Amino acid sequence: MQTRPAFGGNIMARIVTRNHRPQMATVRPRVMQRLESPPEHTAEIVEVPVSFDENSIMTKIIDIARDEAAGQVNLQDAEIIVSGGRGLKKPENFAIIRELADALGGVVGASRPTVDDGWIAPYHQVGQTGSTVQPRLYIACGISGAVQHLAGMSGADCIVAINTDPAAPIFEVAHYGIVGDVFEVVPALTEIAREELGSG
Amino acid sequence: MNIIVCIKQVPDTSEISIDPETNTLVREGVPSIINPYDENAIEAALQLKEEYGGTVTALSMGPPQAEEALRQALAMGCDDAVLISDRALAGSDTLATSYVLAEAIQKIGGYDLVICGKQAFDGDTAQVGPGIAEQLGIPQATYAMEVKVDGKKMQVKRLLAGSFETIEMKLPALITADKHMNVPRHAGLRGVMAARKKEIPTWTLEDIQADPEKCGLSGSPTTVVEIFPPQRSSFLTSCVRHNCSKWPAEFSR
Ligand SMILES: Cc1cc2nc3c(=O)[nH]c(=O)nc-3n(C[C@H](O)[C@H](O)[C@H](O)COP(=O)(O)OP(=O)(O)OC[C@H]3O[C@@H](n4cnc5c(N)ncnc54)[C@H](O)[C@@H]3O)c2cc1C
Ligand SMILES: Cc1cc2nc3c(=O)[nH]c(=O)nc-3n(C[C@H](O)[C@H](O)[C@H](O)COP(=O)(O)OP(=O)(O)OC[C@H]3O[C@@H](n4cnc5c(N)ncnc54)[C@H](O)[C@@H]3O)c2cc1C
Repeated sequence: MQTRPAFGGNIMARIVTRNHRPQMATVRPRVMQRLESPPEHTAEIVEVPVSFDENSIMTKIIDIARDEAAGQVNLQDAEIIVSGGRGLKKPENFAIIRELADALGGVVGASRPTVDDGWIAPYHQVGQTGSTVQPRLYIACGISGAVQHLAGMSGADCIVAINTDPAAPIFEVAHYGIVGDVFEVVPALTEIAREELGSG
Repeated sequence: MNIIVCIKQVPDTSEISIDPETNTLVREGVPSIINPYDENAIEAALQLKEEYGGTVTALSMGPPQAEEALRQALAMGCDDAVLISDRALAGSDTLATSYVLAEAIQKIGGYDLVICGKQAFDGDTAQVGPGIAEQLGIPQATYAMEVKVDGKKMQVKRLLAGSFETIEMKLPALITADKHMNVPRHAGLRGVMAARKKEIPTWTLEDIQADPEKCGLSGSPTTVVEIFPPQRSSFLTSCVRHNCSKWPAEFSR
């Protein structure tokens, strides 16, 4: 049996394949804890000869280019993520998110509408249709906490939410909630982080 | 260049909810839309047609009301539309759906390219496009961002995590469209009027000579046995609400 999200994360579905063996399922990145391989463990690696007709290969890779914009954002491996949402009001205001992320040594995440509206590049998007992340610290700034967003970040060890609306659903998953204005709280945090961590 | 675009009619997921008593989807009053990625697929097809000529046929499998989605595809500029509708299709999983669509594509025939959306907003599996390509035995490229056609060959730039991959394949082929591929056009009034007059044939399993054993419930190895709302870990009780001036000091410890 598999449990998987559908309807853009609005529902979970349990799928059963009763009579067919073998079956196959794929695991979403970061939904399970990564295991360390035990150092004493050994295994035999067997090389299996394969032969096939080159003409049966239907596609040919002719180029792989690094996506420069994406290269700088590695959300999936990030330990600290500071994310901005529509509460930032304007694209320029992502600057305060970037400053806090830099001060903490983290990376910038974003909710989908900010990506859709072109405030920030798509690789920053966290959630059902973006990256699933599992940082030590996730700071959500001006993000309401829609299920599709939560689907990507509720596995974070510590979630901090900053939102003016005390009823925002993000507070239901937050370990620390600050009912406040991002334009006051975020710069205040940046200042403290800079002082205490000596960053920037 | 003759193109077939596969489109799925889906409920507008932003309005979906689960009946807490029956644990089934509340579909009443939920508007149906064309799966958003399929609009990117239609746009890609129309742009290729504008550049290389040919026809664009929209194809959908679904209940009779899926005709609305096909009308919208015609209004956007598709030349023809075909609906596959048959009671025996109920309960089709991605394997059965891919089989039926592949059979219908073969019946339409004469195609150079099949375009699907990257994934459907409801089932969300992203399996049907690749499944169709396998059934047809043609090359495929998923997550397409850009396409270039060169005679009987095509180059596709694919959007991967952190990189772009460009691959070349022979036509006929199948691609699945990413949302970053283009901005779908809106249907103009003239398009809407013209679409209203067009005939949309409805094909049954018999019409496409599909094996009933491979369709619907009997052709579907997987079953959705249960759906439920996603669990929200409730930290509500432990949620500490500080005011702005107090919180940062404590946080920094
Ligand atoms: C199929 C599907 C897939 C989706 N996938 C994703 C996904 O991957 N990721 C994702 O994020 N979304 C996704 N969404 C969208 C999601 O449903 C929400 O619309 C989105 O997450 C909301 O973004 P937001 O929180 O930035 O904006 P809003 O919901 O508009 O929230 C803005 C918040 O900012 C607060 N605010 C306003 N001003 C201030 C201020 N000065 N200081 C502090 N707070 C303030 C408001 O109280 C509000 O809570 C998806 C939707 C669908 C249908
Ligand atoms: C909650 C839920 C969970 C499900 N989980 C599974 C599962 O794990 N395994 C499984 O096999 N089935 C599953 N299904 C069934 C699956 O939704 C159907 O098989 C469906 O017909 C196609 O799959 P999809 O919606 O994931 O489409 P996708 O494979 O995501 O669709 C990709 C593209 O294929 C094309 N396409 C898909 N369906 C059609 C159509 N009917 N007509 C024309 N073009 C189409 C469109 O271009 C679309 O953009 C699930 C259904 C639900 C409601």
